[in-house]
Amino acid sequence: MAFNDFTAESPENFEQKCLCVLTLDVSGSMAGNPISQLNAGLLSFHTEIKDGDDEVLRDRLELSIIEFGSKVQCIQEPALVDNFDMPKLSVKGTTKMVDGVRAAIEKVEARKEWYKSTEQPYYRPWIILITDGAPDDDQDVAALAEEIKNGATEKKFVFLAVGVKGADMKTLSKIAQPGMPPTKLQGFKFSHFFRWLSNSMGTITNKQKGEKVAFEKPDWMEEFTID
Amino acid sequence: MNETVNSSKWLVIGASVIGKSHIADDVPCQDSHLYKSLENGWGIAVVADGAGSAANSDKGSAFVVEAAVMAFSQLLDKEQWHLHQTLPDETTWVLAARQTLKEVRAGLDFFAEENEWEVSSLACTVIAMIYSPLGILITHIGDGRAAFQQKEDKKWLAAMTPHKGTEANETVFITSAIWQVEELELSGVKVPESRVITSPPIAFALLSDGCEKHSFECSRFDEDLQKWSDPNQPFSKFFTPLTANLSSAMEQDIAVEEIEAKWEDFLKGGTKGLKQEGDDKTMVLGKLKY
Repeated sequence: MAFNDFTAESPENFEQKCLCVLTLDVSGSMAGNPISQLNAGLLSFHTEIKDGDDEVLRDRLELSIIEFGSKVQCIQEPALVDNFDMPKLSVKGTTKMVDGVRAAIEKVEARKEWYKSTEQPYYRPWIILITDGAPDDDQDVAALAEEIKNGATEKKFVFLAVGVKGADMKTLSKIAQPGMPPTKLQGFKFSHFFRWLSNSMGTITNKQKGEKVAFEKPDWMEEFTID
Repeated sequence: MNETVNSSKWLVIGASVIGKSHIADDVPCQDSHLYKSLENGWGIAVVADGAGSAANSDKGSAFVVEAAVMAFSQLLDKEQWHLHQTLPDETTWVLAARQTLKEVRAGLDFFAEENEWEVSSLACTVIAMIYSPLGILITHIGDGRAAFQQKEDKKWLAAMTPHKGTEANETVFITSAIWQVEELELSGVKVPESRVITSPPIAFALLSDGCEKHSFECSRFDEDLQKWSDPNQPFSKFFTPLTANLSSAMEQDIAVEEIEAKWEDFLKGGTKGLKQEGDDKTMVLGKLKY
């Protein structure tokens, strides 16, 4: 037998999951261009993962979508991108932002309970908040800030807040997890943000052993300072 | 440098190659490996995988493989198991392996101090194997996998159980606070986990976790039972063709450098999965000569 290049066959293995809950503001102020840009961004995000060449990301990333206006609604339960069509958002009412993020935290906890009950290891879930306004007056921002701080410290999830033009960045800074300041979107560059998110999720789902994630510098981010 | 690779009854090859995400992030390969053959067909092989979150883990893993090969050589010099052609019993090996890994850790503390680094910046896993025609002695801290093919029925079996946490990418390192606790367990096995395998082997493999899903059945989800499991089963369709190719290289007296160059190419992109792997990839493969 001749000495050849080494060749081998690999087994089929189940990819361990990474949950990302998109928590999206659909309040009245998002009407018009913002909501249509957000919908276009979501659609290209979905397509990029579904048709892209990162097979690990496709089999590993579970997406869930929660929208908040006057009401909070989970419009997509956690699922691989292959298993659902991206829903189209429409605007409705005010900004129940705190309730929306709370629902995302509950979604993360429920999914983690399922992972645990099936004994599968999982990657730390992500919660991404996108908002263009300030929360309604009845929203308890201080309590949410505490909840996020504790959740992040206890490594329950990673929380990233993204403000769109008009967003109350001071509030977002209050609720941001330590070490992960809120970022502000340039104009309505949702497609840029979601391309970045897709690359970043690819990076996260490929990381090993508590590796710090070095994100590439986003081209959608606007410089801002919190005074 | 790997010493006297081809002078014993085994042909051993190894390579450590950088993963796709480390290339993208401009991070060095954090895996290391080293092996050394000894008298009577005995030898030592070590694999270490540096923690992605630790700044100097490439240097940590390089230090640990050198220090571990040296420390286990000294253990063999003292115990002379290879000269007497006997394997120690489990109790003796568990104690000896723990003590030897503690010495490696002490060396790592010294190395950190010398360079004014935190020892945690050198965090890495370690798998150390003493292989012989009689059986295998293995010890490890952290993840990765090890396999051997038993002579009796040619079956490939796991030689260790990786230490894993709840999150998919959690493990324990030689630099972790594990030494004060005698009975520390993770993934249902002790830290370190040390085993004596008395079934004679004809081949073995040690690998970092970057290679595991390509070579082991290690993640299975039963839809009916809604249960995930890690069978920890070396995939024979992966290992058998590789060792067959090693056998043909031996028969033809191919230079080890040439074999290892092909081996490195294989780990870089010999399968679709290996080519796309984000993590660093190390595998040491040994085949007993007939």
